[in-house]
Amino acid sequence: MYPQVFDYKDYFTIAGAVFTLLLIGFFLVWFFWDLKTKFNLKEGQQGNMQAPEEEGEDEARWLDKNLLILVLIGTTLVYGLYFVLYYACRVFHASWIAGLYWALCGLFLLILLAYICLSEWYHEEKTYGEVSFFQKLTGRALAKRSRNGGGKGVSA
Amino acid sequence: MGSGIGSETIHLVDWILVAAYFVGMFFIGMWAYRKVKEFEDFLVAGRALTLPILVGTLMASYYCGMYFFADAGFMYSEGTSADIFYYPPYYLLMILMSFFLMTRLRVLGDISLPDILERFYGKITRFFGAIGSFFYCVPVMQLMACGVVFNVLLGWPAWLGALVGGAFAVLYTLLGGLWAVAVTDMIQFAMMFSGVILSVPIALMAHGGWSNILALNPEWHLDPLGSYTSWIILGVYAASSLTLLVEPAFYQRFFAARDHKTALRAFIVMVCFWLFVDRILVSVGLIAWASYPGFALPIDEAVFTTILHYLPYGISGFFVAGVFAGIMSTIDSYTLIGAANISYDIIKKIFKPDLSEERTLWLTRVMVVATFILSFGLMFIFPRIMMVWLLQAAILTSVAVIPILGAFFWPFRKSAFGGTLSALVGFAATIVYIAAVMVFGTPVPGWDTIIWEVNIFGVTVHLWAEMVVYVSIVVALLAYIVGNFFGTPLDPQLYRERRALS
Repeated sequence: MYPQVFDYKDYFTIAGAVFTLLLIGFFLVWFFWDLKTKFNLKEGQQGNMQAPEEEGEDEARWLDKNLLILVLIGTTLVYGLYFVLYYACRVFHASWIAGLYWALCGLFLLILLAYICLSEWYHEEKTYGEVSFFQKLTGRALAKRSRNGGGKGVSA
Repeated sequence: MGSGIGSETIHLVDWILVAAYFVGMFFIGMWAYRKVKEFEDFLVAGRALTLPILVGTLMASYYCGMYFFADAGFMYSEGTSADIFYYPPYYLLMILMSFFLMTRLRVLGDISLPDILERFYGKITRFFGAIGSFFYCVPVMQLMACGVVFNVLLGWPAWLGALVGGAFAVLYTLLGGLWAVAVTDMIQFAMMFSGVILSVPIALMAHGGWSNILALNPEWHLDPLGSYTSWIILGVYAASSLTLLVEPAFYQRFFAARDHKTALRAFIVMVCFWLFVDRILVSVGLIAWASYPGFALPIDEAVFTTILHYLPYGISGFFVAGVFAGIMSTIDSYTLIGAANISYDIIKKIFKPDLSEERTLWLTRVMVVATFILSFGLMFIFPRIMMVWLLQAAILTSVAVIPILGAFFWPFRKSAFGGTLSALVGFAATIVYIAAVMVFGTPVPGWDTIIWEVNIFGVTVHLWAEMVVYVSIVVALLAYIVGNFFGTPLDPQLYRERRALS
């Protein structure tokens, strides 16, 4: 039997594991919501599933610059600072920097995922005129519907 | 038949859960069968996949069962170095190709990798691309992994495990195509990772925390380079990440999304998940060493055994079903794409353009079975898993990477001949390099590779089997330049139209 010597490393690991499990659970629930609302439609209703991008969407907007900037910051943060983490802990023994590092990484990934989910729900409501998972959870729509029952939509 | 570790670590309740998983997958296949009306439903799920389904299917098909054996074995033997040099090239390439390559291709409306090659370089390049993609997708490695899992758990012969697991995956793929694959993938993804993640806090408590675990690990496990030199890591592992650029499963998912924005977001969410689950696997690798130090277990089985050791009854079954799920999700994905490479990309698009939707769908189902039978046969020809993967990845990379990237990013004169020559010469260079290394090289058991020592002007150069990608890519690039120079240049206006969004 080992002596229990829990410190910040253990608490961060457990927090990270719980967070990842919650994230998987969240996507699983969203998946079942989509399965129920979008893929059990009766025949003939599935035409609205298709994107209207071929119908004249602004082709120059293929690049989502906001998302790209967020992702680039994230990559730099997670991996650029990894070496700071390594030297802080192994060479200078400043373990509080490791705590700060994991907190920053976790916070940033949370912001990135929140941005992606909100963008997607807005996109679903605006482009496809659907009830998004966000709307199901909160009762509030992110966008005014522009496409009811097959009308042409505008991309988010 | 003998008995594997499953007889000691897995309770009857767990086996009931595993059986329930297999039955559940079959019923999902039946549900998906009713949704398939035409070929596009079968191959790209009617281009209707939403973000959560895409995330699940991407994660499940990318992390095949070998993740818990070969990849996890690397964490067990090398520790945290994977965090620095093994994973980052994958993350970076995935982000770049999602933003700058796949999004543009999705808007063009193609449904397969060879479709893209034909759009830019004509039917001959399509043919080479389809052959390369088919060869890559023949799930030999995944069937071998399936055999390993059955062998480790139940003591079954590997061929029997591969036959049973593979046949089940092929059954529901036959029924529902990508619909069945995508829906089962989401459930498989959740099962596969929940077990791994749960094992970490349980093991931490059992060991008394990270301080005890790290004290039991050797210094090189905490070194960013592990026991390798940086050149080896850069040369070997960065090369393997290049396959991402032409990974057919990723292209299929991108084309199956309801639109390019949803697809892009799903890919970025997938990278976020990679960041989480890869760190967790590194943690399990360190815990495995603390539990079974000094290579007390075979490298490939250490992490799997550690996870089973710490998970309680009930959750173990969940995890074992998840491991089967990981393997089956990759077998089903690749079998489907490989079958479509023959039925759609070659037969329909090159030889029989007037083939009806119904006949194409029927032919694809026949090819799913044929691809599985071929894979099963090839299992007995290739003795080592890594060599199969290496050859498959190198062929597809050498055939498709340069033409695909050149189509969008090569700023000078282009011709259809350039793309065709690049694919042909890249393919030949790969075969020659691998054959030379296998004939003249020496196996290195500790690193599971073959190295050929060549003396060039008095300097000894070590040519690893894994470096084939660098050689074939350079040769393919030279062929692309030469071919573009001598081939009939494409009409610039036509080419601009083909590039569409560039």
